[in-house]
Amino acid sequence: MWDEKSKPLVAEGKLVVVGVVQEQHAERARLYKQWKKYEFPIAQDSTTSLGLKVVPVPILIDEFGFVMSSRPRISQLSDLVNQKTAPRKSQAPRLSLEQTSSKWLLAHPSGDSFMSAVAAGDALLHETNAGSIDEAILQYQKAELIASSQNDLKQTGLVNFRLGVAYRSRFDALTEAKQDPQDFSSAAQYWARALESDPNQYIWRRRIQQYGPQQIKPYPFYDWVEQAQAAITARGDSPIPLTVPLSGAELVQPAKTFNSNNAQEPLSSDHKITRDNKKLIQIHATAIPQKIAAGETTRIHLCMTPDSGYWNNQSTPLVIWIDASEAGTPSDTRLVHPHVKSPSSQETRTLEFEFKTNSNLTKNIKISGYALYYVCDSDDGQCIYRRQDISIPIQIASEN
Amino acid sequence: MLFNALHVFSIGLLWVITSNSFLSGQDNPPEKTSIQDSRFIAAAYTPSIEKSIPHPDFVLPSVDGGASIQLSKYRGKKVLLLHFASW
Repeated sequence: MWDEKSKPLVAEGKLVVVGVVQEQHAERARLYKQWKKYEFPIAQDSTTSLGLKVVPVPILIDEFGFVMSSRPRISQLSDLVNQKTAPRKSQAPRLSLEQTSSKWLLAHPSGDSFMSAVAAGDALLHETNAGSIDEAILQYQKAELIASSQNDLKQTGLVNFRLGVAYRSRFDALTEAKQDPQDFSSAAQYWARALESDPNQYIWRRRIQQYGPQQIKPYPFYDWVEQAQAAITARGDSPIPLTVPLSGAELVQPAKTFNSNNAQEPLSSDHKITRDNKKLIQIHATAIPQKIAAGETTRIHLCMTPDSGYWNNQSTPLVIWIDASEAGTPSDTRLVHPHVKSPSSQETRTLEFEFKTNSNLTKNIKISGYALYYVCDSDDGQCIYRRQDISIPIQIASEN
Repeated sequence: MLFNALHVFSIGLLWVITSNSFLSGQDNPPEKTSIQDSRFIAAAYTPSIEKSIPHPDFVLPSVDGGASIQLSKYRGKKVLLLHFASW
């Protein structure tokens, strides 16, 4: 809409369009840009450093860097762009590129140590050198300590959201074999804390909803991806590949009611299956939201990472059974990982389900279940069918 | 559909503006405001985007990779800054 309306003005040299997305994963925005055939540059503001709380928001800026109109109507665009700007005595301040580098920022701290740490953290997060994410986290942690010590809720929110972005970035930056699911949990934890400090920050809220249960989703987040990929392919182009695969939570449709698909657990000798006592597979659970009120639903992300083993893909697939619970109802009792073609592999596998808690809960609960998988021990090469019990803690908001 | 959905949640929400001495609504910002300070403000505070005030300059990565995008690079032309979501 804005793209179409602005194109003639851009062609006449009267206007420049610059897009800004608060997207965590740049390549998703790149795919969107390719699909929509946007020709304008798009900046990634993953940390919401420009302070927006909602999108979409158009802002028209004049030739001197001053705001002409925030949220202009699309019908006003031509008139505003053709409006002659009165000469100004000065221009809006410019940044020096050198002074936005982490090296410069770390060497020239300002009197405000919170702002210095946040700015350095942002710069480090944007610089994708090895280890820069770790350093960004350290800077943000420093800023968080300052904000906490001053009981500054606003600053705490700003830095907590950034910590969430940084932890998620580190989770995505590592190869699957090296990913630490705790980074994803930390990201979810910090995003939740940020939102608590500012419940009206809808961009932060969307991050929780993106990975959360169907009932809190305002819309399916990335249902357009398949359509975009098909449309780009149909016109003879290759869609931008997504380096971070879309998770189940990012694709499911919103739902007003909770649906449960209980599979009948077969009468089997599962309990006799050898336990994976060496923890050849590490299982990590992240609930989003991490804390819910009794009666609400949370989405559980189960990450399974080979530690000193690897997957044997030539036999029965990875299956997770979720036990019946007096504390609530799981959306699924049986989760099956899709078949992997290679005979063996070492990737992190993720399976998700939702859990609706009973409304009479007064304290934290644990959901139990178990995983069954074929795994090979890297030490001796022995491949065997193993079982690992799972216990997933859920925080209930009424409990202090 | 995506834009429509996002538009729905933006309706009725005031774009919350915080006070900021740098962004005082004057056409001419104080001379003492240094480039370094403006960087910190852009990084750490919610900017006040009101008519006739300077929009904070920013340097952000491009989603295409490569060179960063700096707002002030487009000085001399009107700029339509489009904040939108790709989710």
